[in-house]
Amino acid sequence: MKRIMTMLTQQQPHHIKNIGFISTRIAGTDGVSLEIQKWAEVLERNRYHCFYLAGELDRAEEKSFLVEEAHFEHPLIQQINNDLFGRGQRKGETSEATQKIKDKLKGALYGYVKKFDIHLIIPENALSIPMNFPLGMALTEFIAETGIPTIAHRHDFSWERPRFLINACVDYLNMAFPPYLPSIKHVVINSIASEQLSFKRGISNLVMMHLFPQGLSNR
Amino acid sequence: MVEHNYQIAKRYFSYEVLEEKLIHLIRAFE
Repeated sequence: MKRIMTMLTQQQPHHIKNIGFISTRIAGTDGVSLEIQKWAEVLERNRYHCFYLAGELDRAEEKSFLVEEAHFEHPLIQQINNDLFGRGQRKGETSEATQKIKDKLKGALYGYVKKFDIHLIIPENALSIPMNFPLGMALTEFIAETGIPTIAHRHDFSWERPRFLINACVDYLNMAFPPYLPSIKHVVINSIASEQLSFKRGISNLVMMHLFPQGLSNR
Repeated sequence: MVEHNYQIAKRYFSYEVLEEKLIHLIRAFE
């Protein structure tokens, strides 16, 4: 009890100004990229500064942090996915490759947060659907190691896609898709996802539905 | 009907709705 109280008193209040989005791709017109744009608009009009880490980016260069291995189409990530899905047992080489890229991505996350002095991160679907296992695992370890305030925005889950049902990575899925850590607040896009996240993982969450374009609020 | 749908969308899917929830969520960390 004394140890817990000491830990609580040592915790510093977070003064949040700089916010870092993290995803596999933040570019083009896919749903996740569009939603990031809307969230960033809302944040910036409330005087927060937004930054972006992904494997593909079309945001302002001075706010961007490109990490090629974060992309789900990176050849090494595609190879890992091929080795993990559609079979029930994993090769040792696949575990090694996954861990190696995970460590590299975790290093990149530390560099990103340091470079832009980021106070809060928003992983966009990267901790929900396993398009990039090493990225999700790196994020989970990074959050566990730093305790950084995190809003995990979830658009899809692995259990919604039949192609993920037969796999050799239940341990990875349970670790990172989604993770359950004290500094993460979970946001989903509809009430069905909310119920499923609570039912399957016991994780409480908040529903924030996708937005209509900006014109709606100006009418 | 169009006006009815617009009012529903404004109530549940506008930037102001997101703003209220998201800023509150961020401030809960502070």
